[in-house]
Amino acid sequence: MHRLRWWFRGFTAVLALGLLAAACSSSRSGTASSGNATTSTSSSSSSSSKTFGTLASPCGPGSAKGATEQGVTDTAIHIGYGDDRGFAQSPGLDQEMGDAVKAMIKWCNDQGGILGRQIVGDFYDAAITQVNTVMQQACKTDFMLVGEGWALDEAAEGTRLGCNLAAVPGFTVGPDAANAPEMYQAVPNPVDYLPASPYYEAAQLFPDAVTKFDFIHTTLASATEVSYNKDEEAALAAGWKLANCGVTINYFGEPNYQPFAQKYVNCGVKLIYNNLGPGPVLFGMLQAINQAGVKPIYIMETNDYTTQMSAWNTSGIGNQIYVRDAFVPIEEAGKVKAVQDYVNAVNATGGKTSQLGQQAASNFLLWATEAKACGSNLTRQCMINNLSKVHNWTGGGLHAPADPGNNTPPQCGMLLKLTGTTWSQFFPKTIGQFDCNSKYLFKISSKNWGTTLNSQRLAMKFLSANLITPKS
Amino acid sequence: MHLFITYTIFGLVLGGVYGIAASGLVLTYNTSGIFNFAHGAEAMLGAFVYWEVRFNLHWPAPLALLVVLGGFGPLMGWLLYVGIMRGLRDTAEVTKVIVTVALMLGMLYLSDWIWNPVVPRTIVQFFGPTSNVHIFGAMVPTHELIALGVAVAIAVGLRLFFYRTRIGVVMRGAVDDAGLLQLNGHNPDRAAALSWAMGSFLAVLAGILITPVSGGALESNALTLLVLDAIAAAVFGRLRSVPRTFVGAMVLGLANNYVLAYFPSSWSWTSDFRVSLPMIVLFAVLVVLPQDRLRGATILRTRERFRVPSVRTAAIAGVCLVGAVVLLRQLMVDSDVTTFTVGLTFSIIALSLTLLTGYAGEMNLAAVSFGAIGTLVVFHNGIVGQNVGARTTLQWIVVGTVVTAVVGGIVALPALRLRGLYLGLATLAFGVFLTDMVLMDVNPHKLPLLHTKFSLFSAGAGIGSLVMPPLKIGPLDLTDGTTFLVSVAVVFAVIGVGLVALRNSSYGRRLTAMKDSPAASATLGQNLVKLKVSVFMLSAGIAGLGGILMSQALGSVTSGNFDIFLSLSLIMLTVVAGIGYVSGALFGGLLAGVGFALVVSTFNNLANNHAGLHGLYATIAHIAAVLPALIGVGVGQNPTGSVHQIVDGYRAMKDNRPVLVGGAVVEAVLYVLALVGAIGNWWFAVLTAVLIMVLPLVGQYTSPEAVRQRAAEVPLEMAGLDAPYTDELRAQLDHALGIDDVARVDRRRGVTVAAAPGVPADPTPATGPGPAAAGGASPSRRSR
Amino acid sequence: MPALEAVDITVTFGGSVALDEVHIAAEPGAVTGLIGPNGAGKTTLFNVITGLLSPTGGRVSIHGRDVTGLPPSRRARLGLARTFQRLELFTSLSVRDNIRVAGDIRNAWGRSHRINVAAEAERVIELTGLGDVAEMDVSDIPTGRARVVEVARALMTQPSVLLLDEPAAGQTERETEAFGQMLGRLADDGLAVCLVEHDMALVMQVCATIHVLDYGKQLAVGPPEQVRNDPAVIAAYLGAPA
Repeated sequence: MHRLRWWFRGFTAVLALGLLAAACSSSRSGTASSGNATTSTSSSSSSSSKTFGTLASPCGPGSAKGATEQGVTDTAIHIGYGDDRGFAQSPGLDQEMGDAVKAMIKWCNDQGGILGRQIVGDFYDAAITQVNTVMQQACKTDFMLVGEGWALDEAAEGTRLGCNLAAVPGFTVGPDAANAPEMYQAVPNPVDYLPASPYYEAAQLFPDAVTKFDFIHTTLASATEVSYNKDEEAALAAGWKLANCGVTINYFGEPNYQPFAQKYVNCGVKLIYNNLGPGPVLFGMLQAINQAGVKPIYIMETNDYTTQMSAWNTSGIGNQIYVRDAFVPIEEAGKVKAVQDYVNAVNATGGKTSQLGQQAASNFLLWATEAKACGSNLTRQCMINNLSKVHNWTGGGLHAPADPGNNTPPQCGMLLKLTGTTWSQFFPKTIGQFDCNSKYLFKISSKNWGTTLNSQRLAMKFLSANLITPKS
Repeated sequence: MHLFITYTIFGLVLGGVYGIAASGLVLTYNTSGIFNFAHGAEAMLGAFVYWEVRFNLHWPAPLALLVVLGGFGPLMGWLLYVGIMRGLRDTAEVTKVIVTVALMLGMLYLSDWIWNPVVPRTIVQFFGPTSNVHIFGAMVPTHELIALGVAVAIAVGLRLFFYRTRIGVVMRGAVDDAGLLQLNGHNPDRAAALSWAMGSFLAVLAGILITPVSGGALESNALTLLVLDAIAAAVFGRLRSVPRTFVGAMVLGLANNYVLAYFPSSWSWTSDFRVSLPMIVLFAVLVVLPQDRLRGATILRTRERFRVPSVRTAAIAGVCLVGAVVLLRQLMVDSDVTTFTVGLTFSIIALSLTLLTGYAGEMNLAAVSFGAIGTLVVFHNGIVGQNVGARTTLQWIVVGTVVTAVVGGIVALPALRLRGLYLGLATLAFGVFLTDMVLMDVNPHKLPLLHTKFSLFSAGAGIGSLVMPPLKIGPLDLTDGTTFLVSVAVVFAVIGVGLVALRNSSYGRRLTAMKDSPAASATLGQNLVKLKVSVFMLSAGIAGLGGILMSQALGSVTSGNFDIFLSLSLIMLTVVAGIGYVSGALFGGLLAGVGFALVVSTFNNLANNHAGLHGLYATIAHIAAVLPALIGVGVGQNPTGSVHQIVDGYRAMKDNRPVLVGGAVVEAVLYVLALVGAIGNWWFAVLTAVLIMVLPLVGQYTSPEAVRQRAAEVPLEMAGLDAPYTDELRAQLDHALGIDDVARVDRRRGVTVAAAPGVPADPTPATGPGPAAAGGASPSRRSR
Repeated sequence: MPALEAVDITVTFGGSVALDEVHIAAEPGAVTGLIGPNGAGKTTLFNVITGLLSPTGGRVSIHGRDVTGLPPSRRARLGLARTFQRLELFTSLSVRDNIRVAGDIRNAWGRSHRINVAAEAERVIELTGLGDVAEMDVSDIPTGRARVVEVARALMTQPSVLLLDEPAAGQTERETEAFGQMLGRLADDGLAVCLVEHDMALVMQVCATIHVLDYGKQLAVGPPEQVRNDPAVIAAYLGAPA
């Protein structure tokens, strides 16, 4: 009896170690084997004329050949993608991005891949802190990164450029990632330009409220403060007036939000600009502000346009929340084909949909379109050459037109409104239409860039002679 | 004035929140001697269960409260005591800490499993989310006033309970002198069980009350971590006095709100300071607490038993380790080398725990945080070259290690005068302070005298990550993954062998003496504080070096890489593996650093990629997430660790060469099969694990003694003559000789059986309530 | 000048008085006995003398130097050593290492205190007759021998004052006899020994002076003969035949 217990306990420990060793050495194979398990030839024959929204599908059979670059073979193209879903403090973080790319890979492979080459997706969960480790893995495996979204991308930027792993990321966060070389984004968010539509729109819609606005500051500067600095610049330019209430909450939660709400009350805030994502911290803050008796207008970043936010708003506390968006909202899938195509693709592989997912999908389409153009000459150099020439991209109608080649954001936007548990387009009134104006492309002063840019607006930090630059 | 009243009231509310949480800590610590890190997690589970019945099943509030507070809360506490805590008698303080830390982590993962954290859940305030009360012009939510009222009621109630009721008085005595209580006809076991039930009740009450105060949105982490802030209040009450604890809680709550109200918000560090306030206060309280009375071995005989290998054995093992790493490298895909390297750097950090906890019996709950100090030093000074060509220099790694050691000494000094638990709490406070304040310092501020802009943890304005290039010493460039891996393995082996040599030296013997009996050590002339500071500095230095290497292996680090949870799971898994052993550090570090995270993510990926089996793989991933915590909780059953058991198994078959050689051959065959790809790496790992476990059993079965034993059962009177005298055998003998169970139970609890009834026991708090290490062996002789 | 002197020691725990103005002195070259029933305060007095417990009142001096405010380790350096009634052996170490570590600690006092630990340990093991159990785990030897290990360990620091707390409990009669002879030899070498013991035969045999404590109060002081015949002592302590 005693002996048996001894054996069992020891065994669990050793087994755990064994699992570790095995996981160490085979995590790669686990994911790699899965991506190409999709060769249903029946559907591919009929889909040669398929479209994604208004975009002709870049996918289909063909005869592209050659092991032209790491991750590219006669029959397959290895791309890396991923998100932070394994982050312990926020499980499932940004998983829609991975879900979207996975869905799009299947959508593409079902049509025959890219000119006959199947796409093999290597999924990387950076879990926030592991971003450099997964980047090192991708460096050794993949042709390019496509539609990935890692919040701490900055931490791995040096590694990425060190191995010339060109990327078409789903989003960028760090300043050196946002203006990085070897990087093109479907909807760029460079450090030196801001899509300023919401500030002008709000000034027009809520002329009184914008005269007393403030932010919800947090202790995690990299998450909220860096972009607030830019928002402030653009908002002031649009005629907003800052009421400095002095609210900075702990990014990881406060035991009581009432004192902070009181600070807003004391300074008479009428409009609150927020980029803190949905979750207990934001919800606690909103509830406290409501209880304290003020009813400000909220203008929020697109990351708050989620079902988590709408599901929370059963009490209607969030009925004055407006979210800026450059994408056609998922709610309008019935009216806009590109959105419907995206939703269909994700539903087919059992994933989650959201605006972030749309973003990743658009980047995949951008990448796939240019990969097709490269054909048998599928090299990073060719991709970078082609991507640098794309100046009007809408992802088949998923979003407002943007300029990936010049790395400038859209000059258009819309405001969504939360009412109860539903989101709807608020401004402009016509569903699916954006409000566009050239002054919405707002130039940020260099002190708020967070990095230094060269004359080609590339972040200097990781520049080197070995980088691949566009050649015509 | 209006402002002042408002923030005073909110400060009191926050103090009440801390007070409720801290009172439960004090309650269970006083009655069972276990500092319950899982207290916040219990509150969290209670809040979730309440949400489930009240807002999901829509029970009426009174019924929901009755069931959750009256049923679930006490039952959970009682089960915890009966199932886990009761088994922690006779274990070292670190074991007790580890078990509750494991419980905390386990409950956290469990709740994430049951209640998907992505779904928003709200506990609505009592009397609704808009009900307010006006006091002197300040508007306060009704619910928060209720919370404050309940907090005060708990403070008064507990005080009355402890001093005015019979069972309360019994509880107070349960830790100090369980034996005395028993002599007077009380049952300390029952008192402890009751206190755990009450503690859990308080936790659940806190969860239900506090959640709406913090906005009502349920979140597993926040409530669980509330216990960290509450620790400061509890220490203010010296972990003993409930009223003092409440005073501490109120001071904390008020200070927090006054900082918020009156500190200029333009100071970039104001908010970080406010968030760190509980930890700063905790530290300050530790500094002013009077020195503890020296205790003797409070436990008759701790169940942890560690064998000490010789330096020669250790050196051979070190060489074997490096060899094994080189061989394993051949099986790995290139991209996994980094992962393995990171795991080994965690093992180096774990070595600091082997020295500190395993050898010297002291605690560091923030080992990984000390790595951040070394990393900061190297980042700011030790990098040469640019971008891809950047390297770190050896001399600055040495400086970083030394600086970490010095900082370690400064941090530990105030707590070293106190009992071991306080050192654990001080390190915890330091770790949290570091992540909340130092590692949050990402915006450059002007330094007053130097006229330069500087921020501690930043690679540029607002970017909270540091890029750490690899080391280069002359021709040795660690940019190459394999070189780095092998180098880290060598560093681990060298430090490991060094530690074994240290343990076998006079310094090591003095450490062991201090661990086994501080009182005897001091009366022999050992300056305990000096010895503790020296060993803590040495240990912090090792953690610093490990942290620097970890940062380099990762390539870049953020504050998340030094999270307190990492430190906690590191020490937990190291204890599980065997904290008295260098090999325990190896396995504990590998598991904490990468092991379980990898297993979880592997299964999550599988679930992600196989829609059909999604449920199965996701479940396995959840189990894998909870598993380390379960193993940690089980450490109370086996405080010496798994490595010890395995080593014991192999020690027994030292002379059984055929089996050993056979095992080696089988393993070599497995390796070759894996190398040529005939079997997958998973199979290689699983089969290796099975082989390691089965071999001692085979050895035991085929050993000459076993064969002889099977031939003839040993008669009882011959027992112990030609075979080791085991506990099992002793129990058998006791049974046969009719030595009754009570006597044996008493001996284990350390009760002076000999003290004649009616005669007051010698008041000897200094030596603690335990008879001699071997004194219990002949109780009859002393009672003449 | 006595090697050890504790004057007017008073200790109170909460409301109860554990020691009430107790006075004790130990002369070099003699064994001083300290007897009294359980709970009389003998171990508490030892704890006060060694610095593990701060007295409420009174002072302790070693070789004429006031050590009342000094920590235990400093007192040890002045030549004080003790054993514990509730054994405080280093359970992770072997018998030999238990003894050696005391020498290690002494060596860490400073350069002038250096001894050859291995040789000295060998000498002490021989002196105390622990040779047969020297390599055993300290928790595997009988109580009586374990108490001798405590004595041996204390001797390793080469003390001038040795406090022994019930060293003979758990010893067989033969062991006790040998132990008594060893105490005599130690005293002859000039050591001041202070002995707490229930074994009256041993106490009467080796002690030059005996102090009697009862419920924290000093009942009597004097040579064995005198104490044996003291009516107060007989009433309080020896009332029941020993």
